[in-house]
Amino acid sequence: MQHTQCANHIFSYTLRGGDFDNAGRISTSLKRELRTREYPPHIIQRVAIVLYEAEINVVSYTKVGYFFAYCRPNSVHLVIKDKGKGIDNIKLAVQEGFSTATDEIRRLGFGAGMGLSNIKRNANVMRICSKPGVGTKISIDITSRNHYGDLIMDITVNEIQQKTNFELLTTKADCSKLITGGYVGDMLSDVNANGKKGNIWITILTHPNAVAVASLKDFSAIVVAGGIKPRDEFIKRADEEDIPVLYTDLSAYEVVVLLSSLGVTANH
Amino acid sequence: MKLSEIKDLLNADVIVGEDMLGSVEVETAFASDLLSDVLAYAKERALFITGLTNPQVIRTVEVLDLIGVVFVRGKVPQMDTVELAKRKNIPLLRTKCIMFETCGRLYGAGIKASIEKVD
Repeated sequence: MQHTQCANHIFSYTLRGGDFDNAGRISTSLKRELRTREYPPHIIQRVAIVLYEAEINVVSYTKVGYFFAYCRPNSVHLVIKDKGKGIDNIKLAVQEGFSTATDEIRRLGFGAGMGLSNIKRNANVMRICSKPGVGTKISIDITSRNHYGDLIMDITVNEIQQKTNFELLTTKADCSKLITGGYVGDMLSDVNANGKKGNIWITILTHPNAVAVASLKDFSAIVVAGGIKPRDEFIKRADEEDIPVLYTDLSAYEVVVLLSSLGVTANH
Repeated sequence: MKLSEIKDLLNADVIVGEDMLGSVEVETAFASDLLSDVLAYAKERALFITGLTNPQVIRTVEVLDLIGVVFVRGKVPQMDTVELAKRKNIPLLRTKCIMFETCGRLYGAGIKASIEKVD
């Protein structure tokens, strides 16, 4: 298991398939981190159980699994992506008692078809995407809030601007918008296909067409990175379309690192 | 009830945690050979009674903040299980009693279920 801590809010781990000896270490390691950060005990406990079951799944059924934990105020968002055999029928797999476990897994005390249902039981929201033969992605929200509507982060464009000190180029556009996630790209067709509503979009593009895409996708803001400052036409159009534009000469990669540390996650 | 009393009740050997016998206080227990069920239902600070002997037993104890483990049916935990328990300061006992007998003796002595039933 390798562990990387990215600023304060995001933890990532890697676990290899078959590594039964280390299954459970990610869970206990993140548990310690959450304790240090004084998360409520019921959140910590649920995160620990979910991660542990996910670790068992990764060592049992995959070649490798990548674990991401986004720790936000009052909630933890977990994403587990694996390269594995995938799940043929997700509905069936989530049912208690359904199992494709081998004898080895059963000897360990698992494999009774409780893994995914245990994860679901402890999650406020669970999403599974899987492709047989390719792998599985599970994203899970664990929160103390009873009502969990959309995946909106507790951070606004304004706060991003204040915390990063990026230069705000627009003057009229609304900076109080909440951010739903981040997307990076300089190819408009890709951004158009994969950006999500409310995203903060990081790009080095300075052509006004970029604003049109941001508006079409209803992004919360654009961060122009890389050091080429957009011209007046770009900014004027952004103000008209109500898209705040932040500017920095940091590279797109550096911007991602900064935004990650503020709790902005990728789209899931 | 102190862990030392549990040791006597079950005629148990202490594998790890001789020094904790007098300090660890047990009020509840959970018995199972299915770790997923333990993860699903056990509450923190329960004593874990099991016939499983692999290191995942210790991981489970850690994840749930359980208090210690009693291996039943005379099962001997694997070396790496013992090593992990030592590192994590988790007491391990071993009894020749079967799980039913172990639970019966503890229940009779006032240890309560970690969770009475599953809804």
